[in-house]
Amino acid sequence: MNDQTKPALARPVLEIQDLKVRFRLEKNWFDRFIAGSNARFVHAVDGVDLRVRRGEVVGLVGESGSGKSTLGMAIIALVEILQGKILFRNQDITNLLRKDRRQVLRHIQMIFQNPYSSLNPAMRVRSIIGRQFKISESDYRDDTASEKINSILRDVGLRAEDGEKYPHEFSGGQKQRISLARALATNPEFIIADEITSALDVSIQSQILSLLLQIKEKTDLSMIYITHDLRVARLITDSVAVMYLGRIVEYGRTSAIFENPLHPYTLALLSAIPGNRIKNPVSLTGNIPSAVLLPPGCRLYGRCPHRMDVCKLKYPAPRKVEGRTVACHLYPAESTDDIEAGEPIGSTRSAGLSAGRVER
Amino acid sequence: MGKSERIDAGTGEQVLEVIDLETRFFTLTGVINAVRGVTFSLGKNEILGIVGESGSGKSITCLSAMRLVPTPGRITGGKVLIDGQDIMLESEEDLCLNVRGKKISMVFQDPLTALNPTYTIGWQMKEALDLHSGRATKMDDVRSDLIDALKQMNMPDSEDLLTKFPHQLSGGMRQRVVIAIALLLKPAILIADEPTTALDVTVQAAVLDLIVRLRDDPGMSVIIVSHDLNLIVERCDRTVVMYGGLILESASSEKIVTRPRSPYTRALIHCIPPLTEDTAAFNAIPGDAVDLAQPPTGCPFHPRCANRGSGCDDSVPDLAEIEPGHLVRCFYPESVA
Amino acid sequence: MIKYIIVRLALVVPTVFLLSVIVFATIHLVPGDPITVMFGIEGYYPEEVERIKKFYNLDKPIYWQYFVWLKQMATLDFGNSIVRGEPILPLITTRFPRTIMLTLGSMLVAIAFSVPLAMMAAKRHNTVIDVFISGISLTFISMPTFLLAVLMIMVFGVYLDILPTTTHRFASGSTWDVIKGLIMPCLSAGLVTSAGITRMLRTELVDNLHKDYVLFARTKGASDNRALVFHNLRNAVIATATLVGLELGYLMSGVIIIEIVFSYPGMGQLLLDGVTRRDYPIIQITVLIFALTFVVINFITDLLYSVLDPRIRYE
Repeated sequence: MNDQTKPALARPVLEIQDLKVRFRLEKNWFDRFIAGSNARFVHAVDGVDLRVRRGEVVGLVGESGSGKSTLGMAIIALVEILQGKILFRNQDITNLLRKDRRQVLRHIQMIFQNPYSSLNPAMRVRSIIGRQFKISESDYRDDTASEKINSILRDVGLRAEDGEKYPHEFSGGQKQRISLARALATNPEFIIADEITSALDVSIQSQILSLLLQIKEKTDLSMIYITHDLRVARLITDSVAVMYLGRIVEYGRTSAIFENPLHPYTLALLSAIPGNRIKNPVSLTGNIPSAVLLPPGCRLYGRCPHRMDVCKLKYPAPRKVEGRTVACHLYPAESTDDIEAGEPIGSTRSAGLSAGRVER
Repeated sequence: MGKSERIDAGTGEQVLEVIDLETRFFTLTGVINAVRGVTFSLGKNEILGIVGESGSGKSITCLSAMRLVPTPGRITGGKVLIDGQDIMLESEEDLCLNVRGKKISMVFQDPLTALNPTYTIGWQMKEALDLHSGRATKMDDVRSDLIDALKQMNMPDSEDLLTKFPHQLSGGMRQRVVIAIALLLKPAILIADEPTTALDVTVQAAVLDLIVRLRDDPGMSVIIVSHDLNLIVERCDRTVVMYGGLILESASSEKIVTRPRSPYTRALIHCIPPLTEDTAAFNAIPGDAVDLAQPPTGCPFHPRCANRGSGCDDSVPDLAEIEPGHLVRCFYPESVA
Repeated sequence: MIKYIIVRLALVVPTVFLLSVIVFATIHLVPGDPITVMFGIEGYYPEEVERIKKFYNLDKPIYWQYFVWLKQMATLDFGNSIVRGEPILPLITTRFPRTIMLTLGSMLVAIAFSVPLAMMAAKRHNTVIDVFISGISLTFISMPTFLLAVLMIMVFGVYLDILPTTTHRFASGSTWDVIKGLIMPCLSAGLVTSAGITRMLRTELVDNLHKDYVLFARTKGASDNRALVFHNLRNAVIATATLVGLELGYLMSGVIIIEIVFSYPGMGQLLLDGVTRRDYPIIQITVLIFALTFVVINFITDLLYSVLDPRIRYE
């Protein structure tokens, strides 16, 4: 974070402040009526602070239910935000009007895990990509667009002829290339990639990953890369935010986190990677609790091998340790934030990664 | 195609022998050659890993070994010997009563879908017993047995579990229940097809430990099937690498990582993202996955192979033993550096 | 669960109220009135017409008529048929069970045909047998109920002469006569219904064939038949239950035609009679009862769903 080497990277493109997203468990009005005041909520994202600088790839890693995908969707307004702010190029995009939001979201593209359902099966690849030009360019012309489409297809490793085909004529990996081409067509500043290689075979995944590495090398595109695969995160990302049950537990440079994980949960995740030799492996007992009834203290309390009494009562405020942010009582807290962090969940201002914001 | 090459673990008797197995799917659009002559064996108390990508034929090989190929698939050739007996020659009734579940069991990738959502855990466990005793036992008579079986899978509150439905359990618990059911009749062989792929990473290790421990207690032979080479070599004694319905390499797990001879194995190792700063070690495998409806002539991997030479597109090389216990199907095996 | 049932039941009240309004309004919006029908031409006996109108409250404002009617309905005071002049309640109590009998009989036929056929088709899916069963069900789906009824009357009633073509001797006949009389009506309505259920059930069964729990049951040692019945069918039935509930509702209305074709003395005939003669009380009550039955069937289907599927039961 402070140890940025490239000065050009310093400016944050995207900044997320204390973001909260929750879902009602009762899906329809009938169930809600029955539940009445006992309405239950899934606290999918529960106070997250994050910043992405120009040209930086930030990984969001965690297991299912950690809220990493919801966080991605919240940025492009696919889910309703309960609280918090999202700043894109210093502009608050949280509560934009429809028209304005569209203008902004042109610069942010999201790619999803399942290329089978995210590409319109009735359109030729050329039109799928061409449509993006029409949206993003006021001086759109068919003849010039054609050359651009070809060049984008080549950029993602497809041939110009492939533009005439329909999505179903492609394999999974190629479809994901098309998704990538579609996202790149608007010339975005920011890409949110949600588990884009998870459905692919290892060899095909490797092709998409090296394509992403090339894009990263060539452009100064910023990216949030959501994945449960820590190997992929290690390869692609510059910094990593480890999420557990809606909160970021550790956040810092990828190399630092992988070489010396500080949070017990991060250590457990790294220990669980097959083929990873780790000095003091940790395995967690039990299962991930539901994000419906969250305990007031540390969410890892029941499963953590290092749990202490304080962990049960107080959520550990994120604190700066060795140049990164860690939310764990094992490390000394910064004085001011700890008091604030003791607030129970559901209060107006709970512990996000506030330490991350003080820093700079 | 190499006929009847013997692959021995080196020691002891073989509990399962698959010889020249061929399985085809007869679809409306054509014939798919899912398994194209696979030969391997599983030694007593051995843990064998089968690694491959989708379309490699690894899962169909396992289903074929239980003679449970889903329609429109059919086993079109080869033998499967369990305890020396060819199950291809046995009647379907015999297989149900004496082989499946009793001598050889299987657990699946997704424990949520492997358990029937409409029956209690207890019912589904008791069913496994009833199927082989040929009568409906009373729950009270077998309750303690079932609870014991669950306890062996490190599950607390086993008494309550019997009356629960699958959706009331977490993923890791469900997979333990599935394994408990598979082991109820103490089969000698367990096939675990991607047993942890659908589980969360922090739960995976515990379930894998459980499976690996079966070797010593109660003393079983296990086949673990996975797409994850690292997982396989870490947990298995011997690793079989499959591609396009064929075994391309088979050796002790240690040799597979340290001295891979098949270009595919080597490429596979290098296309897994490394956990170090060294991104140069990461190399993508070019080209598309093999199309089983129209597999390339010759070696199925040759269109993507960096090491291909003349003849690779012509005929399929034999699975040859290039050193004791190390088999490779390649005309130009990588030299040992 | 109990709360669920109570709230679900409470929701029936507004539904029924809305239904009653619609039923009442629709009938009174239709041109023509029973008096005109009764006397043939309007304006013949003005005093007589006034007297009858007054007697049946037809001279009062429409909302007043509605509330009077609603009160009568609530107290089961169905009044008299305008045209027949006899009390309606006994008419309903004798005819409604007959219609229910016909509906349930048809559903029984539908299930008795569709479950084995669907299982056969699923077990041998994509073979000649499957295609043959699909073809048959497609034929029945596209066949109107009355056509099948008429064809059956021709074959079994006229040429073979083994079954009665009408059921008008219903009230006096022996049990055997009643059963014999029910065979053709139930078959003609049931077979058409079974076609839809067969197709859906077959699709569900085939989808489930490759589900892991069916395969896992096989690896446990279950024969393919056992896996099909105990593991596959049970789950396929859950998905099909909704369709069966809906079909049961459609059957109720389909049965009206069957009753007419076979001169079956049920609610359908009563309704048709009422409609042709503008017998307001009869129409209102029969339509309301049909609608109410539909609501009740829906409710039962919902409950059945939670009995069949533990995932819903424990929500």
